[in-house]
Amino acid sequence: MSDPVIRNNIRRLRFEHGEMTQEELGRRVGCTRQTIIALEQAKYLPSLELALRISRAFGVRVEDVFEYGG
Amino acid sequence: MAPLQKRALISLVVGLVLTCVLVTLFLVWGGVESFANNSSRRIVISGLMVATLLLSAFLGVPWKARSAPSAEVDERDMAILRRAPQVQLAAAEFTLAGWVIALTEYYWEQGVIPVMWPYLMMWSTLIAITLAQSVGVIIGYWRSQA
Repeated sequence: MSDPVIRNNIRRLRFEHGEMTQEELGRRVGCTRQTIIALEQAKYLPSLELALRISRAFGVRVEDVFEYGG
Repeated sequence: MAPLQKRALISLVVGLVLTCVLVTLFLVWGGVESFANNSSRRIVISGLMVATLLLSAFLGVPWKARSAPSAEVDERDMAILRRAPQVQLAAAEFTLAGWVIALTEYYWEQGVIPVMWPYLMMWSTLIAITLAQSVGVIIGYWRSQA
């Protein structure tokens, strides 16, 4: 299977932010833990709104969370 | 397991069990002949079909989730939910095609199809469409986790 075109650093950022749990991140950005799991495994591409909410939750730019590898 | 996924699974299991009960009861009570000639049994069978339909629909997708994301259903769940009608459409097509081909072939010589069949076609198609929504949701989660 080829690598996903859009990669993300959510898992790394969670650990850099006090080992934030998936549940906690989901609560902050308004989605379920299952969606955070799917995002981390690159099984789901978030909407622009959710992507911005995630970057805001970590206090970084959206490009620091998501990378276009195409 | 996501809340919507759990609900879809429960709805599918309950719907399938009720459908099996319904089909068994229908056959034990004399099948099509009894359905056509015994109005009280027709009413009971029809009532059970409506109950199966309503229970599966009630247990399945939360009504609020159909319009907007909520605490229980987020944007990924909504995306999965939006794709479920593809499975419902396929279920409706196959159910109707199966009924029409079977009935047409069976009654080809007579040239007419007895009047109770369209009634059974309608109920079975509605039940198939309702159960197919749960199947569509389950497939959606399975694909997004594969």
